[in-house]
Amino acid sequence: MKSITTRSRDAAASPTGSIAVGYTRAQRLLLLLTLGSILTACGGGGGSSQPATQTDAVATALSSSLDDLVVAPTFNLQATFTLTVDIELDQNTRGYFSLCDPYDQSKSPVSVNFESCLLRGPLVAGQLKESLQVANHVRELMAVIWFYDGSDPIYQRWQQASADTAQELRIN
Amino acid sequence: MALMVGVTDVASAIEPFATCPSQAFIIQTPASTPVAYGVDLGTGSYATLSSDMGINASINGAGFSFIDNHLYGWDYQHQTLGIIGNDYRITPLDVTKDTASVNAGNFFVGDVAVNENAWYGYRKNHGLFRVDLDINSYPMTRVPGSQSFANINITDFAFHPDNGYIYAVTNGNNGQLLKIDPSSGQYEQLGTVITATSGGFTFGAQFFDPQGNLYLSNNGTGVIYRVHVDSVSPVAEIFSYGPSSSSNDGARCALAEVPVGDKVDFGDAPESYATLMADNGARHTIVDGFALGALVDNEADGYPAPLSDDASDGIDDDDGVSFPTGFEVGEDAVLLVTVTGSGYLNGWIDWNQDGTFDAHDQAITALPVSEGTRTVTVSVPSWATAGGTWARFRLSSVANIVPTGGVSDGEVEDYPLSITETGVTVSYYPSSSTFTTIAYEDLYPDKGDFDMNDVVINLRIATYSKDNRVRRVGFTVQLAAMGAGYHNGFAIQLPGIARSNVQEAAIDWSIQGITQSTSPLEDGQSNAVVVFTSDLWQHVSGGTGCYYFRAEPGCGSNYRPTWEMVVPFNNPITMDQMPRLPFDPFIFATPNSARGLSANQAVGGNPGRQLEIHLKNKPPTDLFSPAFFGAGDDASSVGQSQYFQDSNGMAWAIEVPDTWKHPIENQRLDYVYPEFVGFAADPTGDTNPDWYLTPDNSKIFVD
Repeated sequence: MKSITTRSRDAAASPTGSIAVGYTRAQRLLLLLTLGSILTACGGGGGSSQPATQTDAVATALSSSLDDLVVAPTFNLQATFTLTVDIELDQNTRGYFSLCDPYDQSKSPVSVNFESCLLRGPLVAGQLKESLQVANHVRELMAVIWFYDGSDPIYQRWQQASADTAQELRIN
Repeated sequence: MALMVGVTDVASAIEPFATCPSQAFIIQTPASTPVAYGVDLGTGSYATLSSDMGINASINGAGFSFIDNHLYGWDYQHQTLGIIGNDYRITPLDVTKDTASVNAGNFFVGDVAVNENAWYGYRKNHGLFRVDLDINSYPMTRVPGSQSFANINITDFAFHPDNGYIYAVTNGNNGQLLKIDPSSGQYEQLGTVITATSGGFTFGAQFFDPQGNLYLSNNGTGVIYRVHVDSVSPVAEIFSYGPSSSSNDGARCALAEVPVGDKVDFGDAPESYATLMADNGARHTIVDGFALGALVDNEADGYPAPLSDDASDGIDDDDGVSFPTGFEVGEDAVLLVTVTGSGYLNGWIDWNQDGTFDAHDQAITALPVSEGTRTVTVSVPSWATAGGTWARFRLSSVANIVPTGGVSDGEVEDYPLSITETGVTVSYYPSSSTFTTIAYEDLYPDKGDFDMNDVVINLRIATYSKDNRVRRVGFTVQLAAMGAGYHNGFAIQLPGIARSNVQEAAIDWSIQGITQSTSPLEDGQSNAVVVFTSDLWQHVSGGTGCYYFRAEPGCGSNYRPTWEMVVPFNNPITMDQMPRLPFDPFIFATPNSARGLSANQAVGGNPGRQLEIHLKNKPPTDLFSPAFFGAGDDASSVGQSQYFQDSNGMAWAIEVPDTWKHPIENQRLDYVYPEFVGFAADPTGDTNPDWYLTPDNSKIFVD
């Protein structure tokens, strides 16, 4: 009973739409009955939604799917990496650091969306050090140091290094 | 209707105006001949309607007749009342004057009544006069007894749309609102509605809208003020910036609404800053080639945050001002301002976060700006309050304007800003413009169907630190979807941060922009836990024909319930003691709400607050019942610090570090995002690291 409930949910979501392959007639009947409740209650609620569990028999029916997926108990599934920011300029320099995306280098001055940043802060004695957690899909960012004395800002593009290398942004 | 016109026999040629037009007519005599302007009161935009009104002298005391849809005004050339048709040419009427009317001479104060077919004029020291427009001889008589009240200094008056009285605001340094009885000329003083700081007022054009708002055009500046005459303590507020003139007269159909206009730009700051038309919000008529930045959008009304159209329509037209430095208390801040065209820039920053742009908030005053990008430096006052606030920038050809009301050109752009103490660094996870997404299955401790949309939360975390110690954290939370009927609350635990280290009284939080007074810091916890809501369903409904919120096809909505919260610490926390991002966002069963069989069996009844669902391997809070460990499909191992995973290591909640496109109802995660399985199977995280970007587009929810 429980296994059919799960399989039917999977089948309902299957792109093939072949919902009853490999089932007995009794199972098909149960399957149709349970589909009714799926349509009205996918998550909790409704009072009638019964829990679903998997069985080995069903799990082997598909490969490369949640049915046969085993995740390492210690893998928390987070899709981020650590980016180390290390800015070290002349200690008398008063500047403000931003690390942002998107940006447009084809413009002059470089157009940076300062409303879309991972890090913003003043240089203290010319320095700023920070460790950031960054989403895996972020491939590049624009670092800007804006100076209050009117001198030209520093723009430096950061690009994600290969996976096995430490990710860092260094300006000095 | 038949009109008897004595001086010229062109009655049949006088075509009426369209029925009760909404624009205001202003007749000015800049040189020797009168000119008619049409004014959009909403923004002050105006256009010349005619510079050939048929005479070479002033026309004054004009009024619009709701009865026959003509303008009437005093013709200084023929020294009589004239009728004006839709060609704006005046035709003098053969008025039969009594002796007092003859002695009174010309009139510059006048209007047409609404409840009767008559024109009324006022002359100081002479009294109130009436021309009956129903009788062919147009008899003009002085209202009996009115001479004794004829001591007021006014240059126009206007009939109220429905109560029969005439209203006017007097000239000079103190504008007095008067209510005049047309049957006697007797007036009542309703109080001073405006006081001049320099110079005096001459309100040469005054007119009403159907709500009883009296509009006053000040001759010298062209500023149009608005007074609600029926309020207990009426005051004149700046409504828009119209044409100025030394000779000014106005007429308007008092029964026509004041429309917003066709091409108007509004701001998007929260309502308290005056963004909506109803609040006399900042607005500009859109003029080609004159804008902040490159883009300006056309709106029927303001969209106050958090429902800003910049977020909801995906087009951010607020592109004129950017902030290459932060706003640190007592320090300079640099703005980059980009202008198309040239004009004047005014800017306000709500330094003390009181929800309004006050005079002391004006950071930029009448700054001349021209085509291109330039820097503008502003000083953050020492009394500014650290935290989130709003700024408003207005570009226009009028140099000195206020943060509200209409202007006939340019653009308004509103920006949320963050003010910090000196030396504070802010890091944003995942960034200051995006969200990470926490997607939950809520059948715990039983496995669900893995469509990962029972509860979908968008979360942004700001971490404020100084000298490498975290002073406070800020959360922006949006409910993105709810594909479940169960009732769940949402909270964030700060692992390793003691509840006692939170400055509970200083927590600042809001729901949909409305500040909350109750403390969100949960009792009975050793770690700090902040509760955003104990029932997410209190904040949304599925909508017509929809069981759920943004989960089923065709059940889209631009609405996102939004929470903002800043949690300050008593003792700043060193970086190495901070919990890993995104901390520990979790859902819990709403107390006294129904739950499934396994959940009930585990704790012997409705679990309520005892049932929590966390990201994989995040330990629950003190209020969680350990009875759920091992119940149903739960395969947690407390000894190995493994939580909220089943026997295959699969989680009840996953984090996607992006504003995720979640699966539609009943579509399982691995079918919607085929790369997920490969990612999850490799504990290094290096396989398909951005699996969440490549969905089967037919299976994701779209609004």
